[in-house]
Amino acid sequence: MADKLNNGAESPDGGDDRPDFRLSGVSKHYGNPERPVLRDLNLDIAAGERLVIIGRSGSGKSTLLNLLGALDRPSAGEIRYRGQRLDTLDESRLAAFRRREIGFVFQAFNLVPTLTVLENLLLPAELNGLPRRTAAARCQRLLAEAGLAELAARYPDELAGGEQQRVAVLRAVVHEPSVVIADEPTGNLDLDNARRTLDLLQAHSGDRGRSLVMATHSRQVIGRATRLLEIRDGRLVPAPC
Amino acid sequence: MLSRRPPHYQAWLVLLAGLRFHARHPAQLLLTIAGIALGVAAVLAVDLASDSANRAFAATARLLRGQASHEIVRPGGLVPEAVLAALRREQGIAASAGVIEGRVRLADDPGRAYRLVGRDPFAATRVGARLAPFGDAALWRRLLATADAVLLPAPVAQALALNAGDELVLADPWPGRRLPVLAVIDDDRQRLIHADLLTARELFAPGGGFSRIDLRIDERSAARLRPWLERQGLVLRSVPERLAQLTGMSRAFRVNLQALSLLTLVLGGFLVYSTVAFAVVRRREIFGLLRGLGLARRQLQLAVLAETAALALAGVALGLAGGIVLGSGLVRLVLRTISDLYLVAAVNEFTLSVAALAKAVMLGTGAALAAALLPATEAALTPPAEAMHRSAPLRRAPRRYRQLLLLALVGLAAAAALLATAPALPFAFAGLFLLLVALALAVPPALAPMLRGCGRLLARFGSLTGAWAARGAAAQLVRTGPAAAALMLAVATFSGIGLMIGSFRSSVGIWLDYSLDADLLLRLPAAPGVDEQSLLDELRELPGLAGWRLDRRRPLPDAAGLGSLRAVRSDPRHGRWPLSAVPRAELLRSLAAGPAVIVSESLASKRGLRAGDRLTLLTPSGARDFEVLAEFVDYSSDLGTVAMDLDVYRRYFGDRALDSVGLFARPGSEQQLARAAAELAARHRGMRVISTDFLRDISLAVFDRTFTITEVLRLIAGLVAVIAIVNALQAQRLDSARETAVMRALGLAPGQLLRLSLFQSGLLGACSGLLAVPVGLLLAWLLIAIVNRLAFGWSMGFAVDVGLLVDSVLLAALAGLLAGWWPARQALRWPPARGLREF
Ligand SMILES: Nc1ncnc2c1ncn2[C@@H]1O[C@H](COP(=O)(O)OP(=O)(O)OP(=O)(O)O)[C@@H](O)[C@H]1O
Ligand SMILES: [Mg+2]
Repeated sequence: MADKLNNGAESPDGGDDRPDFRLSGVSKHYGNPERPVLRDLNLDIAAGERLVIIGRSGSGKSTLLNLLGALDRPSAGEIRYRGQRLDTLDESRLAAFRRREIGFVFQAFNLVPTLTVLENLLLPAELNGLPRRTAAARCQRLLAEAGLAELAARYPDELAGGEQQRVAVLRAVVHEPSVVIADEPTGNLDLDNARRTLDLLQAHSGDRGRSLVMATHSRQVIGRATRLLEIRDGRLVPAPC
Repeated sequence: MLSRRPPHYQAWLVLLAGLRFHARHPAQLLLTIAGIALGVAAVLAVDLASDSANRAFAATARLLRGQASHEIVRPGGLVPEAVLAALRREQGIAASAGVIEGRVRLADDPGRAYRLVGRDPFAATRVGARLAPFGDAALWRRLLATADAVLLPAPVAQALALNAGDELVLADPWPGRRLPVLAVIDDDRQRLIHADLLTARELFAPGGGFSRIDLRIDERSAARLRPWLERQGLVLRSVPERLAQLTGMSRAFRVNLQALSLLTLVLGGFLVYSTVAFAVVRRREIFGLLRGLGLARRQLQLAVLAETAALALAGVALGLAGGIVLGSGLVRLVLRTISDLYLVAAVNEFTLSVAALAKAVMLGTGAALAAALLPATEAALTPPAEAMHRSAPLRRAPRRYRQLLLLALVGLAAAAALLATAPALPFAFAGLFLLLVALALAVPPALAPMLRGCGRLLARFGSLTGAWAARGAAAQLVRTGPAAAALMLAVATFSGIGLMIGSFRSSVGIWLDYSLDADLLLRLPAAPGVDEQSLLDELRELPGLAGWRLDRRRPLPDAAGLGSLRAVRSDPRHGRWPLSAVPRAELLRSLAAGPAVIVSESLASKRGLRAGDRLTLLTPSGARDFEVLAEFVDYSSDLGTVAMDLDVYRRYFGDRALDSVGLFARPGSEQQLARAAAELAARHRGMRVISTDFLRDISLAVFDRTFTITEVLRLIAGLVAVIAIVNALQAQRLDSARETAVMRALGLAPGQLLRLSLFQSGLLGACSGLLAVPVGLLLAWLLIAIVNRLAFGWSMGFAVDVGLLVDSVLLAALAGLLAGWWPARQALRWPPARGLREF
């Protein structure tokens, strides 16, 4: 239990000792600068760590995750990924960064409704310019391992919520990103489906040198953390478990 | 306990939510209002134009009605003056007045013929010609006292830029003769000149006689008079009968306008429907949510209707303003056209008709409310949970498509039945209307497989993002369907009308080749007459001349007197006229052989004449039957033309006058002949040489002007197409905000997104454009084969202009691309995080 609460920035792989992410003085506001959602954040995220962010609804968890995933830009401060500044990159480079380094899982509506399960999994590969044949084999294998093989040809709206979420997890890791970002991945699921989704997430990240950042309200998720932080009044504070 | 009747503030809440929604999507709001406005404006403008044409024809009819109940004419000649005296003395008919009229050409405006009518003003008042509005009695007294004086109707004076005290100079007859303008009078007819009997007699009847005698008698006296007149070779015609025919002639023109107004109605209706339906459908989820919160169905419908009514009000108000502006332009075009084609009274340029306004308002609000009510009712009927689920409509689409297809098939069957069986125009119109609506209904079910097919192909050949774009377009058809239907209709109208005009124009071109087959036309003055024998002697001397054709034209001498008769002496070796199914040489030979005629198609279809039938014409020696040999093509008038051999004509009608001589040059000698003919004409007063190329150009110019209003409608259709596609793409962008954000989170680059959006919009445009090809062909064919045939009696060849069809597909695709650009840029303006918050 103790190592799960480990707040240190150890890197299990031992390879690169530079942190994956380094946030310094990051603030974010929408509209009114007097009332920032995040204020003056400093945060290092080490490779391979499983960081969980908690906080009341509206505290800014999604906002922080969006900044990490380069889906949005900070109002002030610097965000570095492996030493490279993100906040100054143009949109095409940010897209390339997301495409290669990040895998996302959202709370719901992750999958593109007009593409089948298999096609959804193939998307990141196509965007990264990987050959279709090898990618298809890999996707089939991932689906089989997750026990979802027979869903390959179905459309997302023909899947149960839990199945959708597990496919989303697979899509987030299929292109072997360095970081997986999951915003309330179990928010819409029952206990059993939440457990299976988290198992899948954990199987593909956190312990293979691939860091995992999650935001949640759920105890179940908190239980998977190697580090736990809380956003309170726009600031990050270490949370006691 | 819960109250069964929810308080009214709930409806207000929905309304408030609606207003906020619009405030957050201002572009969408503007587009909706613009869509309604354009639909309303188009319908109003075309109706106003159509109204003004109707008023012009009605005013003409009123003027004619004021004159006389009957008229006496003598086929092929003038009515002897003694008849008038005998009428008054022997028959006791005081209400009778002799009239002498004829065509004149003016030196200032030689291209057009004017009608100069000479009356005895005091006798004329007795038959009821309304002199008062034309000026007072003192004026007429001065007219009688001044030699050669004329009175000009205001529009004529204006057109010629003449005032009282100026002079008219004649070009034909009596070239150079000056007629002083005594006054400009309050008459609203065009191309008409008033004179007294004496002046007209000097111009047209130096030997005495009247063109006609106007009478005001009842039917009993008419019956008594008839045998007495017939004994003298005279004919009594009833004016109301002629009037009926005049109305018949204007009908053709009105039918064309009605067809246009119908097209705009369908087009406008779909445009309004598509814009409003989209604005409402967008909020299905919100409605589902509100229903989930306990809002009653009634309340929801009420709120949506109230909101739509507000939108419609704004759109209709704008549309009415636009329609009035556009309409006043169209009215001017139409009036100019009909005064080119028919001799009609000028009408007040522009009057707003309550009926047209009401129709436009009803179209705008009706289509808007229907467009709002259907989706709102659907939202109200679906269980709240399902309505909240975003992809619900996606799954349900196929069933709805089957219903749409079924409806379309029923509509098509009904339309086909109407078009096939009913020979009358109202049925043809109803059929056309049904057909267009049915085809528009079939657009979403037809587009869906096309787009999905593209998606499947793309997925197979490796572009999942392309497949995403194509399938997205297919899935969103549930929302963009009406806009796609409007686009298809607009493009079909655009190409269909273009094909129709093109076909007609090429038919007219061919006809002109046949009817203006001579190289030069020598127009002879009506007076002083030209001695035929010496003219022929002079012609024989012309260098470079291969042959000639003598031509006499006059109003058709039958009971109605509308239409024209053409008597021709044509050398079979030269020229091409007439254009007919029967070989030309054979036709000319049979015409020369006996009392036979050929009739234009329009006359044949109006009177139900066929080859072998007999046509009765009134000759000076009584009614005569002429055998109809064949039909020939003649677009010069929709009243119809009858042609016969000149010698046969002279034998039966005793009229030796000639109007023109067509000259055929020997190959290579055209220039030489032209110079020689000009010299010949210069030796005779009032004789003119006209190049047939020039006539051809003029004819085509008049043709083009006739169809200007149709061209304007084409442009409106183009505009509808653009608004429809912008609307559809705006719909797509808003609808796919979340999906797009997910794609961007996956790393779709801005450039890729832009390309995909353009691909998607171009694809939607191109597919709608492709569907519009067969519809446009069908529309053109129907307009040509049914509407024009029924209305004008003209048949035209169907010239399929492949280039035009390709152009319209490209146009649709291009409109799609252009319209897709802006929403795509818009989508890129925000970071993906924002799209993830959109539901
Ligand atoms: N695009 C935006 N425009 C305006 N305000 C925003 C926007 N996105 C987030 N906010 C505001 O920022 C604050 C933080 O939002 P955020 O979604 O990050 O909260 P959260 O911690 O993820 O909440 P939850 O647990 O409910 O998901 C909220 O007050 C929200 O209203
Ligand atoms: Mg959140």
